[in-house]
Amino acid sequence: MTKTTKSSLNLRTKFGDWWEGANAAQRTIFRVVLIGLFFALPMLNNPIIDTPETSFDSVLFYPLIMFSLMAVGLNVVVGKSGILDLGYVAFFAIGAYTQAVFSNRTSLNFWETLPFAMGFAMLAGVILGLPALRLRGDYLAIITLGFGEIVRIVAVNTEAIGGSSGLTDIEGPTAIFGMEFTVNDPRPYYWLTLTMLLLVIWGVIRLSHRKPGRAWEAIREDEDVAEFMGVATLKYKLWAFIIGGAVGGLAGAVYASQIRSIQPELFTLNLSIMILACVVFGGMGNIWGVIVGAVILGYIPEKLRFLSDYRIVFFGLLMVVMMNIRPNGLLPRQKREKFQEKSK
Amino acid sequence: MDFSILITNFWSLGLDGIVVGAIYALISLGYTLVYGVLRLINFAHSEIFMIGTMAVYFVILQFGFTGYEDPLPLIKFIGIFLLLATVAALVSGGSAVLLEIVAYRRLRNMNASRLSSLISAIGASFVLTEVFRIISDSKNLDFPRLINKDPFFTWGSLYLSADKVLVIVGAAIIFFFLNRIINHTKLGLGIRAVSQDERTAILMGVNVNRIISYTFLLGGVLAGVGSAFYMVFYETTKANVGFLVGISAFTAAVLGGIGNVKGALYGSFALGLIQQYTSAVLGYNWRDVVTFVILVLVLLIKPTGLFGEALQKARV
Amino acid sequence: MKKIISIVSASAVALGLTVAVAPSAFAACGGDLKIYFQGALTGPYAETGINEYNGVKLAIDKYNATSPKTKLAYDAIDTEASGAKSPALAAKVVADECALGVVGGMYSGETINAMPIYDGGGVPVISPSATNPALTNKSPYFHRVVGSDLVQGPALAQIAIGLKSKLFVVDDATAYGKGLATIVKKNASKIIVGTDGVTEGTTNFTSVVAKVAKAKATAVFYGGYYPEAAIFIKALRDNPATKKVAFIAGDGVLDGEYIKLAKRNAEGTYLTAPGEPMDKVAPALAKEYKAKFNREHGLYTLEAYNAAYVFTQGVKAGKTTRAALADWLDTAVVKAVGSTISFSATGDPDKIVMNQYTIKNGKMVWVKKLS
Repeated sequence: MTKTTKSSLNLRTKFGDWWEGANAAQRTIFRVVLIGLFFALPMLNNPIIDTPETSFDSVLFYPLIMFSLMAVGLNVVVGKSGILDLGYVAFFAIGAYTQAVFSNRTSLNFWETLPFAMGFAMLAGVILGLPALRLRGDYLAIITLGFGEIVRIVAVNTEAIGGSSGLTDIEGPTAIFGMEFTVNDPRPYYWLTLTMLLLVIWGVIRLSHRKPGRAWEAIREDEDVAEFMGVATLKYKLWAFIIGGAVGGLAGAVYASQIRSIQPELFTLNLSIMILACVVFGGMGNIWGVIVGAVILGYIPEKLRFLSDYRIVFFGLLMVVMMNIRPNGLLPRQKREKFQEKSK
Repeated sequence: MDFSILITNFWSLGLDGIVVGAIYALISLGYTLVYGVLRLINFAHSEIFMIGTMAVYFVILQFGFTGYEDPLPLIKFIGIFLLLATVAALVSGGSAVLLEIVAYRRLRNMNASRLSSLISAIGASFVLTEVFRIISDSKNLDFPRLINKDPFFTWGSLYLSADKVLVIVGAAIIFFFLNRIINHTKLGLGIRAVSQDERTAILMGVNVNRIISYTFLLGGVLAGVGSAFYMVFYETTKANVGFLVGISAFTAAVLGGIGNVKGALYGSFALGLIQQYTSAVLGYNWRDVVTFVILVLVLLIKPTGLFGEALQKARV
Repeated sequence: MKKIISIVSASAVALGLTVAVAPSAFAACGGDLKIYFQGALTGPYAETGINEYNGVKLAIDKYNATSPKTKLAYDAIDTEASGAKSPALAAKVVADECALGVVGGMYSGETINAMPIYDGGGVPVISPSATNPALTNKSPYFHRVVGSDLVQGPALAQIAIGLKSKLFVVDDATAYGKGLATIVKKNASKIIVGTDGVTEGTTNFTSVVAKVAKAKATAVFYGGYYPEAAIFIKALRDNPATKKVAFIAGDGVLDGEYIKLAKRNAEGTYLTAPGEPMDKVAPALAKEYKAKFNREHGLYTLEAYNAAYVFTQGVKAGKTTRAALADWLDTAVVKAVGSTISFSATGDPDKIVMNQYTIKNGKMVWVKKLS
């Protein structure tokens, strides 16, 4: 281990100790300041964090906050319950297409469409999950990969949803709390997605501490033993899939309403892989880790645009090097181990 | 939908399917061998294949062939093809061994999760694709016609040409030698031992690191030879060619039962035929959808692929 | 451990201070006003993109050489012709206070995606080569100097009908390729014996060739771009049953790379393009281009030059804001090189030309003007 990793680990332990010892007021202050900081990000115009070639406000929305939201969703599937999903982009696509089709064909506005976008993505989770989740490991991985590709190819080949030209004229959300959503200002979308992300994080943390969370953990550690001990593995795996799908659908709907026109080529296997990389890179199973992963992996290629052609080379090298230095991700899950140590 | 094409063009489509299947097989064997010993998807294997096609392309550039008009006489062609295949095999094999050292070895020694290796491999795959994208300026690179492809035998819609015969006969020879290596050499024994039970293999004195390196080498060599066939048959390559062909090859490996050498072989031919027939009947665009639906159905009936995981127990 | 709180709040305050200074970033343009080019400068379609961007550079340099009141600069966003990449890059153009107008996008897909962003920023756009019909109906800021596929499609269908052929139509499922193929199908419905679709980037055309052979087609139309067209034509020529079919394609195939990749198989391909043959229409400018960039002009170099030229004339007329320039475009009549450019209410050019080309002895050859 190199020195830097050690010191960062120390910082984390220190923070953990402080957090354990902090009282409710201190924790609240910390939370408020941190959340406030994130909400303030688009206002900062800080030259150090700005991206040279693309507008920083757009980058904040996509990829940063979008990747974060999707990574948190995928983390429920991959990180919490240990199902390798290589086709997460399918849910994102379904959410985006639902938003687009409803916007074009119905009088429902963005907010009224959201439940449908999430609902269809959840339904897709059931349709895919029921047969696929009986399989394990890498067989499941390729089935999900295939599912992601099928959704894209079907979109390409279905004229009713625009074929390869996709759908245009998607409406933005109607104003809410005095916030207008216009085409050229990605900031309200960023704030909206940040709010959604916080709600999703809250929901996932609540679930993790309850029965589903324990069931997922059992499945991840050893599925056979979990089943033997009476955990309804298929049911909980399916729930993980559905929850992950709903978050993906939600992200897709917001994305479509921001970029206003979507094509199948936005939803390729590469995106699934990117999100999976965010999860593993940040630290599977740790919600804060995957967000850090998403922010870093989303941000670096944009920041590196001055390298033009070489940025992806550099980015790939970084992935290899980082995984080799910290195989469990930047902020790996460690809560359980801590509990065990304490109870000793 | 046009089912009559199945009758009129049954044999010609079948022949093309077998040719495509043979190329898939050479690549999917690499997935399956590595999966056998390491239990992980070698995500960057498709890039090993891509490097092979690039090696073939750059070697032929050295010869200064630009011509399309004057294919080589057979003997000269075979000589040049053997050279191309050897270079591609060496380059791909070498890259595969290097890949294992850079992207996998340290993680394996740390007993890291398989997903960490997967991401590391994805990173390596990004690097390789991008480097060659820059070198080739994202262009399709055209490969000269080395051999006369005029049909020498015609029967209805079916016709035989030298390139198709080359791929099928060449692949058959390689499968024969591969079978010898896996079943009748010490290396093959080692690979099978590590596949079955790594810990016991270590106890029995097998140098696991060496076996793993050889496995990557073997997979890389096969992909390299495959890339030489690919180039003669398709006469074009580009930086993301690995992605396009790799997904099919990997699907073939899973279809046959990943980790199973025989499975990868039959899975590849089955996939080549399925793809050819479905794209003729339903249209090329639905090819991959049908392929995956068939894969799902097969896996639901036989969860470990058509031929099961013969090299080792099913992973749980 | 109050330290952590104090660090966090201190940095929050520090960053907060930057908020106060932030508005300065939204001040008016400091340097020269800019005309952006949107298209592929790297990637498989870079050939066409570079030739277009050079056309823009030439027009603006020539304008600046006349020492005008308001000088112009040029810049480019490299979309690699990808619709997935164009919106974020377009947002950067909108955010650039110096950006006055855009020449582009090069292809239809990337333009369709970027237009909502340009519309929102009120940036006038003139495309030299995006031919998808849907583009002009949607955006008030979109203009183009070439006729849409509603003109090119029927022209291609006429070629097929003129050959008395049995036509097989294949498209690559892109916005351009599929769009054009749909129009060809509609206009040549009587002679069509089969259709198929492939995906951009494919290399395996054997099943498509089998279908062409079975349909006993005597002509094939391919809606798509040159990398796949080159592979397709090779596959057609290799199969004895389809060796002799006529190969017809639109402007997406008309590119030097097509000849390089397809080699002698490219000979005799029937091609159309709304682009004018620059060496015939504007020989002096073509020479100037060659002298300046030390390369041959490409298809759409002239159109890109003219698109940029229209902008320079607007600026010359004192329209130095996006809004003024956009308004001016609605009524402008500009005598450009080789043609007079004015736009209809939708943004399509009033004067539409269509040309037929072919490949002869490894060279792109202009055949004739189509009505």
